[in-house]
Amino acid sequence: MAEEAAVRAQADTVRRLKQDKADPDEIAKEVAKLLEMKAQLGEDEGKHKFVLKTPKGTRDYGPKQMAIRERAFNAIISCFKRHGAEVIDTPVFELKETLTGKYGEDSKLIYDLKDQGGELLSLRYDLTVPFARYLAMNKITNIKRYHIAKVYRRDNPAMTRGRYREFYQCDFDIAGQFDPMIPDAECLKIVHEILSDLQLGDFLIKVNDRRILNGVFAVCGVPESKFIPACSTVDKLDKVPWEEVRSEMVGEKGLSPEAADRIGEYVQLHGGLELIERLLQDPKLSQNKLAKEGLGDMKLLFEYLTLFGITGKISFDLSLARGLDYYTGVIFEAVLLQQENEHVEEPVSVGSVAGGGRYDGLVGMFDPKGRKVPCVGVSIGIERIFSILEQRLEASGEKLRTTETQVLVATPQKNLLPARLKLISELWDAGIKAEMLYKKDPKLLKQLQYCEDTGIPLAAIVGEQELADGVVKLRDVATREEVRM
Amino acid sequence: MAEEAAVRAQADTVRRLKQDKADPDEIAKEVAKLLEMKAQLGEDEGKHKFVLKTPKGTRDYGPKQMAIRERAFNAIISCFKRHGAEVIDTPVFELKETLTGKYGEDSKLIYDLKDQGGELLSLRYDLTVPFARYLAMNKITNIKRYHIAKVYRRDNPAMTRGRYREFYQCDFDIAGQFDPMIPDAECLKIVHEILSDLQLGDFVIKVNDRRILDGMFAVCGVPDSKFRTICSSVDKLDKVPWEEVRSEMVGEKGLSPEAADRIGEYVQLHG
Repeated sequence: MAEEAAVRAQADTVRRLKQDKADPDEIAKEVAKLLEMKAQLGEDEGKHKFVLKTPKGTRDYGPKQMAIRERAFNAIISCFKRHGAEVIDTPVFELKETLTGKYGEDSKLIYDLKDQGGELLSLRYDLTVPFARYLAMNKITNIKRYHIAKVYRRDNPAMTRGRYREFYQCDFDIAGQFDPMIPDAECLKIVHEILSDLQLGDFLIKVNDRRILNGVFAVCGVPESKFIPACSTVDKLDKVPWEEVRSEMVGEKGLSPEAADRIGEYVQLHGGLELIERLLQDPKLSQNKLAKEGLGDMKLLFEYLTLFGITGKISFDLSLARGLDYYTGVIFEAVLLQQENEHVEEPVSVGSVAGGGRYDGLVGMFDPKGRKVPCVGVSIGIERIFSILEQRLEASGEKLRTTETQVLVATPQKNLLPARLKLISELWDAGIKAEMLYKKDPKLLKQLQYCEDTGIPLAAIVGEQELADGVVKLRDVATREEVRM
Repeated sequence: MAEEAAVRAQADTVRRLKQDKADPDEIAKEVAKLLEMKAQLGEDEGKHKFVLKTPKGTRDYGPKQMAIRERAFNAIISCFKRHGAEVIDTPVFELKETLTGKYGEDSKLIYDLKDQGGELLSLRYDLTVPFARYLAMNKITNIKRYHIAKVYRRDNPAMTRGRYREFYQCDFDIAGQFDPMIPDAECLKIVHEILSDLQLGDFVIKVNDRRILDGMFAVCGVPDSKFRTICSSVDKLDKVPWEEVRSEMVGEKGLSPEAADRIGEYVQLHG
């Protein structure tokens, strides 16, 4: 760098003065200057060292992890494509104002960019708000799209439980005014296909509806102003027992004990079509317009899911509430069920791997005229899936390759580098995946060892004999069989 | 949202008071409160609208653009794989100190994240520094890897000329101590394969060596301290004629006219 060059120049100066036997004071002066410059450079060099860590809550993906990731993405993307989805991409940051007011309490988890004199920016928190912005911006009224990209949340990562600050989301959404519940049913079919394809074990997709929940709250005497706090408390039922949820509702959220008890009668229910029919007959709920609407749509949804053949893994669960404010209709969450052994009575859920729902009001918030574009979609929890696949791979001892190389071009004797370069070039030009060692005269054993280490199945050996005969010896690394060609 | 529910609750209150024929002053008080809440809500709703644009220098990729992008990436990635490269990925931001002091003058173009009480972070400016950090962090002494990801630079985008603030980089690197020029040759073979595959038309790959350049400057009488700055002038020869480069070297960079002429005898050579 410039400083290093300046130091060298100064060193030259000192050398010359000494050679010319210049005035000792002048030499001393220039030497002092040189030492000072060297000290400064030393400080700068210290600054040039690397702090060897990634930011908190983030990680690199090395080749092995990328191989696992590629497997998961291929399964997911081929499902999205099978259903006719297009793909889009958006910038990693949005104007701060685009994200403001969309995430409720979670807004404090948004990463802001420093004000460097231009627009105020924030890193995207999810892919749904950018999607709504994209639809409004391009005046799109219907689209079926998937988007796979990283999002950013400043929460407290529990790395061991697979929670990060930078993580992938895999979103599939259908936007547009369509006949009820058909796109909603397709979203659930997609979740079912993906989780089945990835062979993650048994899973369950819980389904509910915001309107049914709000209807339940209304008939239980919860004031409208308390719907949202009540909702977020009910949402905890998958992790904490009813008693705890009840006392939070009464103690913290200010609900009356009677209201809480009435809520308890509903939110602990789960089942299928029979439950829906039963609730449609419920004397209190059937008086509530919103609940009736939600239950009617839920019945329609279950009829479609039955035709799709997936109701075995679907549960209508009245405790499902989901955090985000913008859901307006059906909501769902897929959880993996862990069955350690046959003695487990009730399968334990080990965390959600997908979630979504209908959000009809979001795009309208972005459109200057408030034009609504109804949307329904699902987000696949790909990070949790990566973790599971990684753990499974370790447990199975399967060795996953990180390259796709088909053949190593090898030479057993000295001075054969030109022959190696020529042959490998022919292979590459023919579209064959080939590698060679970057050594002039490598030993054959080392080259074969490289094949074993990296999983390359074949070696194309060209030695002095083969060159003379105009052939190549193709060797199967595993079986050691050789063929001259 | 909570505010809208509160407004509805207040409206219910007013309705009830009117039905019950309550004290007119009390009704008036609750009505005033309702109007104020509605006005506040109106303001909040206004805040919910916003400018329908992506940040300066960035753009969305719609389905058609993604289709083109997928084609290009497939050609490039299949070439990298054909050469046995592994793939890695790194976070979009690094610790600010990781990027500090690596980009010289260009450091002012780095996007910083706001200090929100934790580590100071910056968006990556390229994929090379993160790669070096990854190698050092994992004590890796040799690897052949590609990395395709977006990088971030706060410069003045000329959108029509394809310059953005957020843009993809497609890097292929070979790290390790090997016999001379073999990996270097493979890199050039890869560029040749990719540009041929993509059928972009005729192309040329210019090659030189920093050691040759520095040696040339030395024999032409350029002082050591001026090597880098003269280098950046010479670099402009692909866009401006020799006369302009020469006058910049003499006029702005303080080179002697004789040295400049001697340089000119070399740098205009290619073959």
